[in-house]
Amino acid sequence: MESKLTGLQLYAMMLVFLLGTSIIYGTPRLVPDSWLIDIAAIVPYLLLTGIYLALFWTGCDRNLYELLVAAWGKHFGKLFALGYSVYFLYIASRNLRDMVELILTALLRNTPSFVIVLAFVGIVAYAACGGIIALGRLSILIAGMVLFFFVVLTCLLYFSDSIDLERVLPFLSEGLGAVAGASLRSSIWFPYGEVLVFLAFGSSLGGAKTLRKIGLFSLLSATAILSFSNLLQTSVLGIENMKYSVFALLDAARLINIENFITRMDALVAFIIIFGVIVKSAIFLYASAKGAEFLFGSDWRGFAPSLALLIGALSIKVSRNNAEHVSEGLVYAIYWLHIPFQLAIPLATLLLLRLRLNHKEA
Amino acid sequence: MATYRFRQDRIENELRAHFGSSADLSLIPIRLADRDGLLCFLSTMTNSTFLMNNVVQPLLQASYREILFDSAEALDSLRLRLFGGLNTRLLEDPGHLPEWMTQGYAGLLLDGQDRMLLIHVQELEKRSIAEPTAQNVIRGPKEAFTESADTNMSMIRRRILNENLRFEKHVIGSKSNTSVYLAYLEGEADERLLNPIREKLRSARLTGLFDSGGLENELQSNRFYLFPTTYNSERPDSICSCLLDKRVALIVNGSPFVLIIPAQFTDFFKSPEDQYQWFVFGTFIRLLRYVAFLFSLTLPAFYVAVTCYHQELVPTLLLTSIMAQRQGIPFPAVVEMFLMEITFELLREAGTRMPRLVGQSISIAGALVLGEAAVQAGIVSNITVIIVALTAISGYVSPVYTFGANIRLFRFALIVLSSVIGLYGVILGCAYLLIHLTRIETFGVPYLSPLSRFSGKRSA
Amino acid sequence: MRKLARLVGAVLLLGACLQMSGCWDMVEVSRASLMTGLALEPGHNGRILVTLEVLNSAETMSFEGGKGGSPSQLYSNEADTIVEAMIRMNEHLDRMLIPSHIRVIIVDERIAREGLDRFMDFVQRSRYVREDVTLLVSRGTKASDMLRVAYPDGMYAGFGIQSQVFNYHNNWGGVPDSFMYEVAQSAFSPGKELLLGAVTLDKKSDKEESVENSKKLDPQTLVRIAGSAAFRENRLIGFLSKEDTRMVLLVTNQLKRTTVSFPLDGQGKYAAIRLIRCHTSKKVQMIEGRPLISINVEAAGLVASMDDNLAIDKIHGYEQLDRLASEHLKESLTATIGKVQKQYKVDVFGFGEHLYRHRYHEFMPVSKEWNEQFAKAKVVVQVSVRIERSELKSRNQTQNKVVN
Repeated sequence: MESKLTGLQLYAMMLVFLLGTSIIYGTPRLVPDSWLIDIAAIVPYLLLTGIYLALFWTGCDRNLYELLVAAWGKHFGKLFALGYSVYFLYIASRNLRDMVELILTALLRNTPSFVIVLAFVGIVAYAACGGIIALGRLSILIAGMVLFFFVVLTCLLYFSDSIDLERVLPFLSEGLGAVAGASLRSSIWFPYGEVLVFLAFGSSLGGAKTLRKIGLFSLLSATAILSFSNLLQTSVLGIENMKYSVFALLDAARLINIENFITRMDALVAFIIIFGVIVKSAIFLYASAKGAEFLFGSDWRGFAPSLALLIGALSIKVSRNNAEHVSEGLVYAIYWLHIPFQLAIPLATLLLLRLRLNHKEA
Repeated sequence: MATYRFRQDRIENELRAHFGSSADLSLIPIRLADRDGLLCFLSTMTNSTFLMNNVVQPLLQASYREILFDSAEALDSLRLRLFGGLNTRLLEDPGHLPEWMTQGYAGLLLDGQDRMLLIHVQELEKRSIAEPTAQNVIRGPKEAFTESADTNMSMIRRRILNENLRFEKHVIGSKSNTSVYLAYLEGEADERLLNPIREKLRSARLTGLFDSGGLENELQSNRFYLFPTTYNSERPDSICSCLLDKRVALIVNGSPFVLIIPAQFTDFFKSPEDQYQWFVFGTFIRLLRYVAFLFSLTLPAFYVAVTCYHQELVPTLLLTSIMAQRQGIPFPAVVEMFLMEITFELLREAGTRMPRLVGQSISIAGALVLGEAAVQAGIVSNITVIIVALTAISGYVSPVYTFGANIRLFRFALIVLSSVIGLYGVILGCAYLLIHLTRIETFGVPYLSPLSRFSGKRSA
Repeated sequence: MRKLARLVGAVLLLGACLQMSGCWDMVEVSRASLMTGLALEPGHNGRILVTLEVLNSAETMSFEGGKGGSPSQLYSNEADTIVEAMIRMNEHLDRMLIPSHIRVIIVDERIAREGLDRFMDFVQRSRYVREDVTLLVSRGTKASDMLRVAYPDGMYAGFGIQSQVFNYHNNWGGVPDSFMYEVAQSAFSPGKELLLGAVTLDKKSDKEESVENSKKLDPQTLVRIAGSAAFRENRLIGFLSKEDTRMVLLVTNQLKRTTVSFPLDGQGKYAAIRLIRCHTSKKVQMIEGRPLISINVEAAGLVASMDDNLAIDKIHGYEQLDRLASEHLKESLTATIGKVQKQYKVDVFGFGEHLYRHRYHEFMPVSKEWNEQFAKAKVVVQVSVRIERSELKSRNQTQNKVVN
């Protein structure tokens, strides 16, 4: 069943993947002009993605795990493959936690979190077990829906006179340097660096050329949409207000009031995040299950439900309260996990692969 | 000298033994130019006028001077001279005679010949072509398929005047031997689609097939799919446009519903009428159908979720009105909803099965008793009745009945989900449905996409 | 591995069944009541007295079986925090309360003078309280008395007060919008102080308020809009009159429509102009340590009534009216700004915010003492009113009799 994803499917997958939770939370408010952070991060993350593309191209369409073994040798390679499998599970659980926090705050206050998580991981396992092509088709639909809801939100906000561009000023009050620094500190790794997970799909991606073209296209469109979303949130809420609001788009959506009739649009935001996180988690789950298949030999479909439950359990256990969750994401995860897994190891793998190839040719 | 096997009395005895004392077994002795013969057939598979005009009269009135009854070619000459216009064959093995007789052949046995002449005399009464009962249009042809596969094939053939139209016959059902015809346009339908279908037809393990629905279950790729993967229609114009769209039709003898493989999700929302009208209107109506489908699935669950869990999502005046209506109702919103839904299902089922004469009382009982009186008695609230009625009406908007029927069950699952975890449950239920839709594949064609895997063109 | 997958699938299904066990968030809507109004007053020992207006839905929707009773009831409770007082309301009340449809929050003057900070955190944090709740200060009356008003059309007090504020704001502009949202905005925006609407009660008799009063021809108790309340650092410092509030709204571009009456010739003849579009552009700079504020007001309107026979069928008549209207408006505006500068010394207009947004570096040094800076700022006002049409008639009808 290893057919290829079409260009549109891959594009939709990457777009939903990148928008996922970031469209709701907004970029972390490290500087007042948070909407500029994404734009400033274009060049660094293009470089980062360049590493992944080069890795894919050098490896001739092989799986991430196969590449690791090819570069580092059997034992270290398998060790790293195991590491990546678990890493993907961890990121999936963080995303799931984000969504659960929103549901618990906005929709269901008293329900215990394990109920919400259990229902959700069942759906995620079902989505992932359909295979990568079904995921591709699903992403096209979900990308359409997410974008549609987002556009509806924007129009409603516009018509209820909530957008005031003056709130975006003062512009660059802390200077361009702070913006660039913030982008390097947080925005590259989440959500853009997570694109690494697509390397685990191997031959389903349809070739390095397609990946390059589609990857570029989707990264740029995601940046545009995220920056626009941040701009929208800032112009509706105001810079200062946004700094202390946990779910920026939700707060903005609560201000929609057209003729006292169309009000209370929280549900739209809940839709966006649930569908986005389903696709994201399914992709991570699939990548992780593929890793398990690579390491232990049995069919990946057997691993998927158990790993899904693991994601669920991790998402509850991983932080005690919201502040721990946020600071873990902003500080600890970046230094201990994202930089090694997203930058150091791929770069080293690329160099090693290159060396080995040259060695073979010589 | 005839061989022992073809002796007249032996054949008669064998037939009588085989068919028991079946009242429709006819064994008629005849005499042709001093030769004894036997005409055996099943009288229920033919009618006497046809037999008279096409078999008996030629036999009686022909002159037999040119036919050498002693030679082995006697039957061949008979065939050519007398029965040239009918479908005939020669039978070598009398053991197969009962089989052929059940298929509508009459056997002509002549003394001294060691073969039998089988003449196709099947002439059955069929229903005449009438208006479709299950799929109506306002503007468009009003012919519908009938139970006879021959009539159906002729209705297709007369619409697609193309020499590439093929009808392949398959026999399905170990005990009923029903004929099933595979119709396709040679050169349009892909072999990658035809071969698996032929395989499936060959390996179908059915004992009897009396409606295309039975075949549908065999051809369904996976029993647990919530959506039908074959499309059925009573209307020749639908079937013909699908045939032109590189698809394959299955005509089952005895069923006025012809199957189309593979089906796509969008087919179940198309009525042929959309193409016969102005495109803007057609598009609007199609969109309305999708919205109606969504409504019929999610409206009750949405109502339950919003009134029980998320009161802040409702405008204040509406909420005040709902609260005022629900004062004094003894059941929680979920139970009310279930009660009314099940009652409506009962009504619907009873209305379908009820004989026509008594049917009027059902509609009166339904409207008065269950609607108004229940509200007056304080058992259910007004708004529940409105929601159930809206849901039911939207459920009928899909032009294909079986589609709506299957998915109705999912509505109940959604209500249960929404009663436990509110809007989150509804969203998850819809997500499940969406994922399910993307996973369905029939004969290699994904359920949600247009038929673009096998070619580049799309039909309207 | 497929077997394990099936096992896990079964576990998930079982888990799904587990979820049938408890509907943790379910609220039975026929046994619950909506909270539509909140009044905050000082209680004993520094606690806060919370009065809730609870809706009786059957009475509000009287066609659904109301018996002519009051559409809402009031219940009070006292505690250290608002949240606790609200949740413990069941000490007096039989139904469960749904707080998500609160329409109006009335803060007593005494609490406002002590400072809003103590009480506002709850309403901002809670997801139940929408940002477009109307927040008002009650002037001269107890806050809970404001909710004890019966409206003639059977509407409950929360809805009635909110609609009153809304309509007055849209038609004449003497009261600000007063959304909850603004509290947060002005808390965070440097250079703008909070301005909330103020209401008071006009009681004709001292009798207990009851539904019977609403059936009389003459309303016995009326809610009267009393201008607005100015705050400094979220503490009430004084009230602005309705006319002054209108000018403030004009400057902050929140004035939707208004009617201006101005004298024509000082002999008791007035003209009324209905302004339908107003726009103010501001320019704020720091010049030699003193802010220079220039305001340019542009307004378009139409003639609503004229006591004198001005020649508005000719161009010069319009020009004369334009000039008179602009001068009058400029005087009022300058007077209001001056009054606020001298008497209250708080920047409710938002000039500081404007400076913050457009000239960040000039604002930051003086941000801590902006109110003092504002008090000594030089203000230059330009007003230009353009009257476009005069409704159905041109000249004053009564003064143009046919002489025989």
